[in-house]
Amino acid sequence: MIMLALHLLFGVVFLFPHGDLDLRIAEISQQIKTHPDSLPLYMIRGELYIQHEEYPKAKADFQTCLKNNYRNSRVLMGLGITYLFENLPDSSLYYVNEALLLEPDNTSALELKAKAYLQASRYCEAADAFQKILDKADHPAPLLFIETSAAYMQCDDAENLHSSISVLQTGLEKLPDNRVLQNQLIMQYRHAFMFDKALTLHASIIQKAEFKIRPYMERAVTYMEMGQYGNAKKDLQTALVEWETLPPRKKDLEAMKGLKEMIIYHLSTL
Amino acid sequence: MIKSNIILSYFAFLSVHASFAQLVPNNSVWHYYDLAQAPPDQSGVTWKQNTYDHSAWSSGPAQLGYGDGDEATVIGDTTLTGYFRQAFIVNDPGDYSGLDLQLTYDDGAVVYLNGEEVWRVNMPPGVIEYSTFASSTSPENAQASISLGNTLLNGTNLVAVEMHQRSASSSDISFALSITGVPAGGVALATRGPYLQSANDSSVIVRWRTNIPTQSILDYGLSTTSLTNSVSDTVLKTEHIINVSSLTPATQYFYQVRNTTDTIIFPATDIYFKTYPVPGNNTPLTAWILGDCGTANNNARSVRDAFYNYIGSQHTDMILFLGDNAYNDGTDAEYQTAIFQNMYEQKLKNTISWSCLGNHDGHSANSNTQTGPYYDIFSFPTAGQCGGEPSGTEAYYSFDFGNIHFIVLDSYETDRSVTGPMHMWCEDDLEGINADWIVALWHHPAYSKGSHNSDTETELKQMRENFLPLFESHGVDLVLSGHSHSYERTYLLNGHYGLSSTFNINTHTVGISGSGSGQVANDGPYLKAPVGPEAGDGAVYITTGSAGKTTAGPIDHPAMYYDAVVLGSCVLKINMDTLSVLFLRPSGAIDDSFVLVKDPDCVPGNACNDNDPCTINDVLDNNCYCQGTPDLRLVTSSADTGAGTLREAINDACDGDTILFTATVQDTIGLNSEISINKDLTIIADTSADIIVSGQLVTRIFHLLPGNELVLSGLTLHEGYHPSAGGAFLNEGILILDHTEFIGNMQGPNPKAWTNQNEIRIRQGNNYIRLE
Repeated sequence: MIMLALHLLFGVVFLFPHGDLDLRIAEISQQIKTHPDSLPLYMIRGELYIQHEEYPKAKADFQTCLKNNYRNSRVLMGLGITYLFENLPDSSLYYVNEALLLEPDNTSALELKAKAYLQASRYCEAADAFQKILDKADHPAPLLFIETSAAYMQCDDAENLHSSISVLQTGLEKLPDNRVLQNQLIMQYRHAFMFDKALTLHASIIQKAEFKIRPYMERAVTYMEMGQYGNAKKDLQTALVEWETLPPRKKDLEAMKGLKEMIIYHLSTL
Repeated sequence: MIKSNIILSYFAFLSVHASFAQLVPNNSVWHYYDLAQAPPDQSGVTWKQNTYDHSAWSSGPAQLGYGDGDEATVIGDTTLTGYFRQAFIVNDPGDYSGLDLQLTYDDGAVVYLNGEEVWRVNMPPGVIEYSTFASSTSPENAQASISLGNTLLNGTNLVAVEMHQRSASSSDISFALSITGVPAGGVALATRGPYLQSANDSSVIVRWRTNIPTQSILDYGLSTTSLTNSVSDTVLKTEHIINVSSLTPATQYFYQVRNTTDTIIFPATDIYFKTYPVPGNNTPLTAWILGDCGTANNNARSVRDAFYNYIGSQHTDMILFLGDNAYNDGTDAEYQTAIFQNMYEQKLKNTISWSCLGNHDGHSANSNTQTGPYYDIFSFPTAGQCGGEPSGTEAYYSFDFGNIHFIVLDSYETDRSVTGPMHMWCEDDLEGINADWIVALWHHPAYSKGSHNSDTETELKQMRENFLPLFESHGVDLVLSGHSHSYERTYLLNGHYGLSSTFNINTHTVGISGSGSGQVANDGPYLKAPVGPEAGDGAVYITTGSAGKTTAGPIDHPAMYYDAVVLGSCVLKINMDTLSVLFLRPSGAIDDSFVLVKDPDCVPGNACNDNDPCTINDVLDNNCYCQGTPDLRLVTSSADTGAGTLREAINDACDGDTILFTATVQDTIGLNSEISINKDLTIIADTSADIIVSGQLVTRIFHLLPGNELVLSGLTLHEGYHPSAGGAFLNEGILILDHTEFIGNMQGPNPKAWTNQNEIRIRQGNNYIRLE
């Protein structure tokens, strides 16, 4: 009997694809059985169901909270997320906006709102929501600038390109020398045919970089787009020279060999 | 990536800053006496007094007792009364206006502070002796608390407790006690830390928290009595973050913390920070790796204590927290008990700690805005100030320790795609480094069949599919993760990005020993080539998420050399060309270990010595394994014995060798005694050379011993003789005959070529035409 019980127990555990998340849901469900009127428990279980990707169950728990007048930003956000995952951005926006009425400065709610607008292809409103987060955040991560910039780019607005670039410029003021943002900004400059600004940024990257091979190659690509093939060739050749100065152990790495092949490929197109 | 970005960020928990000065933590270690009598006096000194020597008593963490099954330390169950003592140090008693005591008891207790009785709980009045019973039966793990005046001494204080049964037939005793100092009005006390962050070769960040807003002043110097330098911030605050800069590399500095009126953390030999070595320098590293440690319970403490016992007084260069540092939601209050209070504070004040974000930390954190307790508590480099490329975020970052580069990723909340900023940053970072070793860490393991499944769970799959090709192409050596609450350690892998069912030990491991243990005493360390066509190939992946709890799982991933669902932590050491990791159980047992060697002098194709006398032309292969080819043995003489003879060639040959005949052998090789063969050999004669080996009708020619294989090709065995088991050959092994002739051989008076006691195959070309 004991062996059978152990077998069943382990069988159940092994079926759990989400480890301790399953155990936590089981634990909260047990507490709900004991205290069926404790609405915070439904809210917590709803949040766990979201992580477990069981959206109908999550929604049911949050709705139980609302039906019983347990209404706070966590419950409303939970519903907002659930509807978003079910590709229902309008419903998601309804609940997120309700949450924002309770907590206007909740950046997580603003982030959810921006995502819902993106899902609804309402890019200008998404950009506005992202911009509000950027305005409120003391330490925004690079991704936030990139997402905001991308939303502006898709926004059907005369100023979209300018706004998209402006966000990235602001990002670089807050996070100087961040290569990811720099590269993103160069792409936008190229898109806007602002090649002089792109080249200035390239030069700054090259000057500060200890590892200059990729920066030279990337500037060459910009030169190629500008039709300045001589400069492009010069940069690619410089990149190759830089590559040759690498220590042997670095040269022999697959990634470095791949980089060299890429430079040679670009040279072959000139 | 919408999903993960959102899930994690909306659990908006308020951070609660505990205000306390825990003098005796609830789960602290006590000395105890349980020998069914009162502790004997020592020259008139009773067990309650400060000068009593309790060093011979047993010790263990609270809760102590017996009979309930919930004790962290079980004491002898025959005693009616348990006696407990603990010394604690107070540097400035004037900091406290009073004391709060919280007692767990069963059945009755008397508490003494510095020799004086201060509290009696459920005990009768009058003199208390060993045989005095409690006034009544208490509930299980009964709780009581009291507030007392401050009777603390400057320096060492002693709390002593006796816990009594209700009757001789009572079945259990339970005891735990905490003492918290109540800060005097206006007195600043440290309620968290100090702890050390973001070190490099010239700076370090020291952090601590106080109960009230106050100035931040840190004095430091090369000895505890010479704290000649200071860094200060006069802004009043409770969260103190001091960046100490312009330091000398790899140097130990002692420090103290104070405000303008009072010392808050006094200098001591274990209050120090040590700067990191200059990037590129070969400096030995010791790192303690804690995965999913955030349970704030005795499981975590037992794992901790095992490491403390293991490391002793040696310095630890870093603690690597692999995420899920504080259950269930990574709140500030949870961090307090899981990390800072009665947990790792002994190490945190002199060891640099680093962390990646776990999913439970992520419940209350937002990586996009870098807000929430996780981001508030830690100070990680975002501008490349500790080495590597500026990431712009504490969610993912890198740092150097000498010639070792560490990369920390956020596998939970940040975009894991190859076009995402984390991947792009990672590529830039990897391209720009020139370290001898690369160690990466993130929470969700690329390979696991523990309580989480890397075949089915999104985060785990994406990290494996998107990041491993990048890391492997840059020669990463070691990847550390948690999440599954078990220990799982791979072989030396390369190129496996698919499901566990597609793992092939022959194609996804690197080098001769890559599919082995990696253990020197077993089948040898793992080897990596620093240069050559397979430069950088091979990494070991460790899932070690059992520093706080275990959760069952199948643990049957085929890429694992070793796995177990047991509590423990890992210790990483790197010195020069050798990296080693061991997995340490709470018992102190080392369940698993491996060594990875990357010899900087290895150039594939260069000559080497494999220390095998049986091989020649030893060269380093593409994975830096020294390998020779089996030597060819040449017979140059037709004599029976001596140099160049067949007998000597067979004697000198190694297992697997091939013996050939030179053109100088033209006469019949006449033997006067049999040749025994106890190794696998191939003896080949050119049929046109007509090589004849003769027993001269006086001896059998060959005796192949059991367990060996002999191939004879192109020979003629002639006039072998044995009276009962012959004539030319006695075979007890596997004999393969290829164009071999037997002529004139005799067993006793009868013609007979061989006596076979095992297996003989007669081969023609690639086929066997006869088996016997």
